[in-house]
Amino acid sequence: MSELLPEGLIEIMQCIICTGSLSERLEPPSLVCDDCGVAYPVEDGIPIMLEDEVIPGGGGLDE
Amino acid sequence: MTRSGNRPLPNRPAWPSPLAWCPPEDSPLLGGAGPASDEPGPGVRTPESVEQQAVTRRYDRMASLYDVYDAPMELMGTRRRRGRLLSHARGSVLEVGVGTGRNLEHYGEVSRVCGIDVSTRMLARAKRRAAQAGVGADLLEADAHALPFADDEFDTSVATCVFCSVADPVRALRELGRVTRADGRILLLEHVRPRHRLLGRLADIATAVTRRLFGFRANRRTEENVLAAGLEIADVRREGVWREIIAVPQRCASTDGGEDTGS
Repeated sequence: MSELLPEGLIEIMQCIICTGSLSERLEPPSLVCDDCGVAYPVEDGIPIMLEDEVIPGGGGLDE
Repeated sequence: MTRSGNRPLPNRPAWPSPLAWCPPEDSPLLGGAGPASDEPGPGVRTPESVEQQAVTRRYDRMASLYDVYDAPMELMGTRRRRGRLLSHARGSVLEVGVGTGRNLEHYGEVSRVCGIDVSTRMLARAKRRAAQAGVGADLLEADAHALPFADDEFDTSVATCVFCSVADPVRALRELGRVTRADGRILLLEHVRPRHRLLGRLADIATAVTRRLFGFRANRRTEENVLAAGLEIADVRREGVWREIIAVPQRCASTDGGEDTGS
C-alpha cells in the first residue's frame, strides 16, 4: 500500500541515477533508491525526480 | 537547479545541498561499474543541462500567464491538432512536458496518465486543472532526458510542443522509446523547421530570438530526430510547420547520427 504516491506508481518508477527500484520513506517524505541509496523528495504528493534535487545518501533522519 | 516554485515549503527538511555532492570518479553512479553509458553522470554540468535549467526557470516564471500567452496558438489550430493526435492514445499514457495540463481533457479511454514536467509551477497548474476536470493524472517533476520509469512501462507516450525547447531532443526521444512498449505508440505534436529553403533560413535566424525570449527553437528537425533516436515513424501528418507524428519503438535500429543539439 502506497502512502505517498498514487497506487501502482512507485512500481513503474526507477532511480534516474542507477535505474534501481525505489521505496517510500514517510519522514521526510521521499523515495529512496534500494540500490544506490539516494533519495528524491516528495512535495505535495509530487515526487521530484530531478538530478539536481537528488539527496545523496538518502538524507534520512538517522544520518 | 534553482527551483522557483511559488508555493511555500514550510515542511521541507533541510536537505544537504545536492551541489555539494560529487561522487568519486570510480563510483558506479558515474558509470564506473554500472551499465555502459555515454551520458554524463549526475552532477556533471553540460551545456545541455545548463540550457535545460534556463528552460525550467523560464517556464516557472511564465506559468501563471502561459495559457493566456498560448491562447492564440490554440485558436489557430493547436487545439484541433491535439485532439486529433491524442485520439490515438491507448492504455497507460506517459505525457512528457505536461505543462499546465492542456492535453488532459483530450485523453479518452485510457487506463492511466502520468505527466511529467520540469517546472514546479506548471505542474501546480496541471494539478489544479486535473482536479477541476475530474481527470486522474499522476504528476511528477522530472526531466525528459532522464525519465524515472522502468523500460516498457507505457502503452502510449505523448509530447506536444515540447521538443522545440528540450536541450537534447535525440536523447529525450530515446528515453521515450525506452519506456514505451514495443507494440506501443509515441505521439508527437511539434512545429519544425520549414522545408522550404528560404523559410528554413528565416527559421534559423528567428531561432536566435525565440531561444532568448521564449526558450524554444523555430528550426528543430523533429522528424529527423525521431529517426536518429531509433524510433520508426508509422505515420505523420504535415500542415505547414506542424507535424503530428505517430512513432513506434524500433529497438534494433541504429541510433547514430541525428541533429546537433545547438542549432
